Amino acid sequence: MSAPVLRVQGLSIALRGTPLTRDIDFTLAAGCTTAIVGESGCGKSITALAMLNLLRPPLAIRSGRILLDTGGGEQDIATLAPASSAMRDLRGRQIAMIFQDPMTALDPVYTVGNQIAEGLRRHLGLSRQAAMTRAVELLRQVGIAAPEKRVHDYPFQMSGGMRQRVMIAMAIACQPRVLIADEPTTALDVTVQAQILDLLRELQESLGTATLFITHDLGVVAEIADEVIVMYRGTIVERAPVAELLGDPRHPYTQGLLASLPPMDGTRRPLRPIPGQVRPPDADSQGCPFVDRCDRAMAICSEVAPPVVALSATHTATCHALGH
Amino acid sequence: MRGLSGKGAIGLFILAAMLAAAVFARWIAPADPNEQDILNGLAAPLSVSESGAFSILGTDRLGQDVLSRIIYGARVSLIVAFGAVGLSAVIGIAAGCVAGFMGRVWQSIILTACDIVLSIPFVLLALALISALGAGLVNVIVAFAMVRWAQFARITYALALENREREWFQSCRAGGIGFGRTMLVHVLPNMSGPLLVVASLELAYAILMESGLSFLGLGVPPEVPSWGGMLQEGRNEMETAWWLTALPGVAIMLAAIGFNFLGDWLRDRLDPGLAQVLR
Repeated sequence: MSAPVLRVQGLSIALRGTPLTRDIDFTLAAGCTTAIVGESGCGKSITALAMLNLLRPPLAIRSGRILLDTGGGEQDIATLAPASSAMRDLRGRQIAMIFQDPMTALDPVYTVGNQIAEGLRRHLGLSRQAAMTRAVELLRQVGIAAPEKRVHDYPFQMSGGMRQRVMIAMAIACQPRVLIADEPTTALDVTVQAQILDLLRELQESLGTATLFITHDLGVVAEIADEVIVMYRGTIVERAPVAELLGDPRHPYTQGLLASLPPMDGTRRPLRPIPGQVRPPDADSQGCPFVDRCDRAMAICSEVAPPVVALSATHTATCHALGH
Repeated sequence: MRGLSGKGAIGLFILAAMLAAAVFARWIAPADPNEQDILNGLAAPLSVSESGAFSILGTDRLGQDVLSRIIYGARVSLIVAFGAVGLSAVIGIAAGCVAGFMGRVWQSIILTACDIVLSIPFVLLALALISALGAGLVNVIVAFAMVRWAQFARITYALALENREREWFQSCRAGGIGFGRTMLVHVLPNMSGPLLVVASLELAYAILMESGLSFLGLGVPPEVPSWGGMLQEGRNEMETAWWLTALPGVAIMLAAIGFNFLGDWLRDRLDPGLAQVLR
């Protein structure tokens, strides 16, 4: 793994005292894609927003550090005031985000060129003309045909896939060190999804950006990720390189997730869903967050928080059953 | 203009005529609106006086030409309407954005203020304000804005709630665009449709209110011709000289209808979904 660009250490996010994520640790490295997987409400998206310091009250970072290597030393994003100009200088410049729904993520009243140019002018101080020229290049880079014409289009004149390409162009415009993609393909149909994933992979390789990819789709993970982090109820339950995680999942939750998918080789068997539902977050949970749905739960699981067990140099799982 | 409905065309025509009357009053009006000719007082519309003067819409007790006064009266109505609505829009939109984006404390302060202001009858409040400030064009505008900003604030607040959940709003924040710029450059244009509709309806209301206040003697001074003032002056002659009240009344009504039609048309154009529901 190459040099770490962003290190998240012990990040806990709380909603009026109720913790939503606990002690999240991960590192993003240049040129690598780290995927966070988990079902709705497990804390993926608020983790991403926290990295941009965009949590809106009553959501707030309770503890932890988000260390960004800005090129001239590390900066702890968690300590910056959300509205400060120092923070705003980082957003879009050093850390950029691609949103989930391309249909609503572009401002309908401006041409796509104007929207791409806005960030360029804000962060790189380009003139209007230079920014528009660069916007055309960016559109070409993300695979939009006839970019010098399309740059004057309004979002409603474009298809969902094209708009997502525009979003990506906006995100990479200032060549950020970190790119956060929050379910960027969920709203797209499958063929377009594959194209967008290819595009992201290509850009990642050519720009060397550290990417955090948030998704609930394990198929997408297999396609794009280098490292995978599995989250459940605000904690990281397992992490491993993608092949290892998909091939040899160790945490009962990860195993359950994979067992609930139809096998890729085409064999037919009944799918096995994980029993039960995600419990809402509570303040005083002591044990393992997955204990009530786990088929290997022991007495200790509901009393003591499980340890992080190192299964290999790159593979860890947070589970009592693996500890002994 | 493409898609201009009958209603929209009528509204636009009335307002264009009114605007032309206000701007070119000096050249359009057949006489000086304040030129008195007592001997030729209370001449009926389309009558020729003994001195040979022809008046299209008659004259009042002082012999002032009614048509000319109506034409000049458009000035007061339009100045008050646009001034008052402009001022209330600026205050109301700013307040609505603060309520929608600045957190709970501001939200409750501003929304409560709106409720209070809108729960007091307008004329009563305007009376109180104008007795405190003194009568006059500017004070009519101020009085209107002191009350009607709440209408804009409420609608802006509702639009703010809608817009701040849109992903493009998040996207602006995530792109490092400052709050002020996000508001002015991105949020405001996205709110402009509904706000324009509200503004056009408020314009109609402002014209009615100006006339009402002038009628009560709280508007512009008597030497400035205004429609409400004409109603007030003609009130005593209603039985003998109907044109003194009926004609400015028609002018007020037409102006209000014009703005209302324009507002309806704007609403249908800007929100086709709503038009379908209403139909």
